[in-house]
Amino acid sequence: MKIIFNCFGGAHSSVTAAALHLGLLPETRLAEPEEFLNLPYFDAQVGRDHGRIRFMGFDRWGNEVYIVGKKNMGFYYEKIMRSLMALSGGTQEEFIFVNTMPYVNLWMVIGGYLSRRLGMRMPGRQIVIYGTRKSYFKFLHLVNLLKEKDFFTSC
Amino acid sequence: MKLIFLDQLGCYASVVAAAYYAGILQGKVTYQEILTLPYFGAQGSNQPGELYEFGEDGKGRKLYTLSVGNYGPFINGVLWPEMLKLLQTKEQIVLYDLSFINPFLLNLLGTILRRRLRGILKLVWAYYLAKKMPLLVKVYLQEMWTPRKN
Repeated sequence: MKIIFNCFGGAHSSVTAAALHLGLLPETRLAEPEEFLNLPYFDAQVGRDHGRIRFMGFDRWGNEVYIVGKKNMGFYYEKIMRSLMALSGGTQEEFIFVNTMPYVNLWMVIGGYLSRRLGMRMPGRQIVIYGTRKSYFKFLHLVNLLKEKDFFTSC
Repeated sequence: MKLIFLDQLGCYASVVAAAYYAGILQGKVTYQEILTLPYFGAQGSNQPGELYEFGEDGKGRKLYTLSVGNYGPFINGVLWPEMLKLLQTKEQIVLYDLSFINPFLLNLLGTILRRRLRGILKLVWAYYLAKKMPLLVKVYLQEMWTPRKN
């Protein structure tokens, strides 16, 4: 199975959620700023990387975990991709799309814009980490919802 | 092989282009001919992701139109090629993005008005495409395909 975490730029919320799913970030406490910065692709992707699907790792069930930046497509990303998959005869059941945008707060938007769009890592990165920490347990909740699904237990 | 024509609402330039491809339309056309095309101006849910099966071309290839909002170039250029790397497809699909043909003002009206005044909007759109499409097919789209000749 392939799990694709998607957000606007594929730099913060999707990376955080994917890292929580992979166990790269702690579940029992709030992660420290350094832990975010050590994640692959965290605050790293820029405009030209939008749409590129990046591999993050294998989870403990052997599923492939990816991240992608889909701009402001929202839920239409999944809808359009599934339409095209259906036409191409691909197995849709193999894919799980997880939209992390509903848990993105204003701090993350401002920090992400400053850091990724304007290239102002200082203070953009600090602001985005502050925002990510504020929504940290929401991302954790999202990941736990995903883990409750039957397809993992059957793997 | 399947051919998918993309545009903002999946029922205007994409439908006309599919009709040209299938050989239903050839050369100069009138707006009445465009109005009779299946799904022209359908605007189902008025949201990206709406898929319409247009029919088949002369070689038995199925033609579809898909509404993609303003993301046509993004989907055609990056998202779908990236997805193909992960996907094991049984059938080849080719995407043609025709979003650039639809004028901004008509798109805006189509989105704002949704299904209201659809009759008038369809008429205006058909008239516009009847004027523009033959030239666009000749100039821009020849590289993509050669329309089937009876």
